[in-house]
Amino acid sequence: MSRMEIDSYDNEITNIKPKLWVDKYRPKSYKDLVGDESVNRDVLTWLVQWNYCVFEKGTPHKDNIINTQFNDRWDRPEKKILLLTGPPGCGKTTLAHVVATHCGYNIVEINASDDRTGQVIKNKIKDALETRSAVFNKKPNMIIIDEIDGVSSSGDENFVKLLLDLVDGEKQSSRDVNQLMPKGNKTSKKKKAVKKPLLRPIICICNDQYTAALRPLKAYAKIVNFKRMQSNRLAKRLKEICDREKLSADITTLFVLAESAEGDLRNCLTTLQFIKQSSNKVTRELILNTNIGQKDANKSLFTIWEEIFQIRSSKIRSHDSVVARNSENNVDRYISRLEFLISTNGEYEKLMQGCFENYLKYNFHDQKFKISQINEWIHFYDQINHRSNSMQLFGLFAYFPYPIICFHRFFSGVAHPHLEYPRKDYECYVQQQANENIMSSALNGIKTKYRLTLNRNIFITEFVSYLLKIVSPELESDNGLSSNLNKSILSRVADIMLSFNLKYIQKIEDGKTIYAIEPPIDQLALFSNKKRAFRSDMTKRLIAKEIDIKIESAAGTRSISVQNQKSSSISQSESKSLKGQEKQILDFFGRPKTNMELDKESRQSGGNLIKPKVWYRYHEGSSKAVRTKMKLKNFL
Amino acid sequence: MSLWIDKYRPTTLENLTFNQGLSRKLKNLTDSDFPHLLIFGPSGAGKKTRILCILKELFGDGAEKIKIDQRSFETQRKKLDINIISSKYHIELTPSDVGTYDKIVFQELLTEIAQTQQIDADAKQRFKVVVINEADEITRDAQAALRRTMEKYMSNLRIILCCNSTSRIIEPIRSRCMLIRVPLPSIDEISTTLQHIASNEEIHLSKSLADKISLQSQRNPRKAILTFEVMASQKKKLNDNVEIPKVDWEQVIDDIVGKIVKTQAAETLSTVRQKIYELQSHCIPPSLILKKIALGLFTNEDIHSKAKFDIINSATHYDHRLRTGRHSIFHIEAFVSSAMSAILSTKY
Repeated sequence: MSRMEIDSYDNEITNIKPKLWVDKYRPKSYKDLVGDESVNRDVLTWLVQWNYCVFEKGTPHKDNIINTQFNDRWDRPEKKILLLTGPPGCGKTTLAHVVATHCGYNIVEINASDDRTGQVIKNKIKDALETRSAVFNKKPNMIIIDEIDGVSSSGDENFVKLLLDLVDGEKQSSRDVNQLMPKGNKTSKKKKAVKKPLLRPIICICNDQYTAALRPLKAYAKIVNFKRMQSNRLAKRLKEICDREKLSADITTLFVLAESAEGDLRNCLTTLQFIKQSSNKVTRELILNTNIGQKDANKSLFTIWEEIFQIRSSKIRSHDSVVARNSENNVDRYISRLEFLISTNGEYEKLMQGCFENYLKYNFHDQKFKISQINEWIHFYDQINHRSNSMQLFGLFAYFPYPIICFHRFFSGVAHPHLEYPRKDYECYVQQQANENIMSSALNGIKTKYRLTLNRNIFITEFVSYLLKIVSPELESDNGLSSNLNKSILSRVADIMLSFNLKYIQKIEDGKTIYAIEPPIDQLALFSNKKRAFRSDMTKRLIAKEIDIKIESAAGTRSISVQNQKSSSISQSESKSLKGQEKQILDFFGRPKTNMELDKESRQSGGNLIKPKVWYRYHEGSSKAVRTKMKLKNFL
Repeated sequence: MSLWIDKYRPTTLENLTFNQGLSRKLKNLTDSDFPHLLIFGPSGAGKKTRILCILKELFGDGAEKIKIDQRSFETQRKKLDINIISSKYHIELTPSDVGTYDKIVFQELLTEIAQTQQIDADAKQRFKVVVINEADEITRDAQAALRRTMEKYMSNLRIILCCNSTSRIIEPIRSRCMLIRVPLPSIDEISTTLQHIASNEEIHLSKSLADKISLQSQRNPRKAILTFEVMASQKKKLNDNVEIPKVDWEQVIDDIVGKIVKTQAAETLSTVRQKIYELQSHCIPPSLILKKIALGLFTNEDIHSKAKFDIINSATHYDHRLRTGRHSIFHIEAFVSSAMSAILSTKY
């Protein structure tokens, strides 16, 4: 900043009552900006691209570097919205305002203090976009939406969605078409509804560009990311201001201040102004002792876990005195430092889980003592957690950080920790819910008669494992799959499965079709130490077939008496010759023939019987079985 | 055809094989006036079978014609569904299914049943029976709601409570009921039953193998019969050396116990933690996990008997914590680590 500019501030000071330094030293023109030069230029370039569209001056498509491929009728930039993101206090709002004034716009600002519902979009923004003040300010409007990450992402009147509608162009009846519309659009005027283009720039400002509400916006917006301001640049600026305000300060002291504020210029200025009230000299001690210089910065979970499991080297520690302001001895330093970190983060449950899942990985001495100690602390945590949640004793929240700090006491090391995000507890919970559901569906399927003596607890601990084994019996593999012994086993298993409403159904896994039990009680019974497939697919297939037959015959016995014999004979021949998918298509082809056969049959067996039905299965897909051509009458 | 446990389940009081003295007393009870009953005993001892037999004795075959209904209750915050098994003469419910809202079930459903008389004029008894399962899981409030109902509607209603332990039943209810304990049958009794089943199913089962099965199922007839059926379905010839299958989750517990006995170190603790998580995700109740690990350690021969006292002591300690806390894994693991340190301290 040049000498001359600072003088201009002086003039203001004399004229106006003393005001906040933050406002006093807010940059007034583009040249005053101290932030990252490239960021500033980016924003300016984007806004200049609107010049042709808004002011109808400049040459289209020529001096516009970015716009060469993108052919826009109004020669607007490709991305219609500019999204400025970055930590607080790095000058986003200031930059937007400065650049807008620089380019000659009238700024319409919408921030979190305004009502930001869909109605606002409809009225305020649209009015601002399509009109201009006629009387006194001839400048075109430009919209700055500050703190856009605070808008709600739900509801019909979704702010971001409506904003995007506006960008895409909005339907509007032709009489409303504004005079600002270029003449090329005349033809479409006759239509009832035309797309109304966005003809004014919009700048959105937010701290966190990853907010869920902004996700749809990001595709349409040019995103400019602000970095944390460099401390030395910041300190230089602070020095200039201090000189102006006749506050004596050396550059290293200001550097410490800038560090502790983490690049937040606004914060530094407020702190300095606060100090100025009491003394004319800024000293290192003064900064370290003010509580204001410290920000309630929210550290990420991983940073905190690292802090917990890693002992800081002495070099960092000395620097750290900024944070641990009141610390006298070594022990207290880590307690107050970690307490501060943990309580500002506030996600105690996550932090605790992370510590719990990670602490056993470290090598530590005197395991017996330390583990039993930490277990007592964990128990303490669990108690206050339970009490505060179940009895609403929120006063206990103050004690949450201390059990977590204890992990540092016992398990911290010099080596960089390899931390993992705690998932196991949640995974366990999800898995448990899934299994509960399986259990419920299994229990509800059981016939009432058999259910009487079972409850959930008995079912899971004493029953399901046995049941699974009983329904996967061992068959005589010697050759006769249709031997009498096997048949009786199969029929018994099928009966049991029916009474418990279990089925073997086909599933495709890794390209192979396998038979799986449904509801999947095998998930309840089997553990990872032996998650082998129970019994061969062959057995399961035979059982599945047997069940189908039973169901059908149960349905059929009411009307047809001979059916049982029939179905068993069919099943026998099928098990010999056919394999594959269990897809029943009744009477698909050969129907007249079947009927004829059946007629013959019924005539033979006395005639007064109702016609028996014949099923066959249609098999599809590959199979290793030998295929032979069979005629239907062979089966009958 | 059904599972053997259902197929060979006695349906009348005369046919009950275990605890025959008790059965005789119950038979005498059903002849005269019938009090409220509180039937308790370990899982698998035959409480439920006895209740069903009592119902049959009281009302005849009509008590076996049962159906399942779902009733829903509205509370201020949410809708509750509860399954009710009922016949013409009795109704059976498990109030603990709705968790802490069980009081509402009693207040609404039970009074509704209690206030109406037996509809069937031909019924053998003038009262209806309400069977309440898992009575020890009912909250104190709900139990308090029950106590007045039990007295007031005595003419219409008899209640049979069924639970594992009376320790969590409040004193006023205990005093209003006749307490009947159903103990587990002896190993001999179970073996006899198993052999009876075997001869009916035409399977050869030696006495020694039957004893082995009974022993391993910890005198639980349900487990014994199911184990036997599993063995019969897997192998055709049952000789004395055949391996007796265990429930899968108990194998995991055995695994955990083995690991604890073998090495007492932080690494073991983390592998054990994995397994506990797995057990939990399979819906095994945490207190049961702790109990089984403790018993496994207690019966282990490699552990010095001095350490066993400490282990049982800490098991009770952490079981208490388990019930007062939220994260069961914390407390089970704390128990495991304290058991490890108990083992370590006797080693050197």
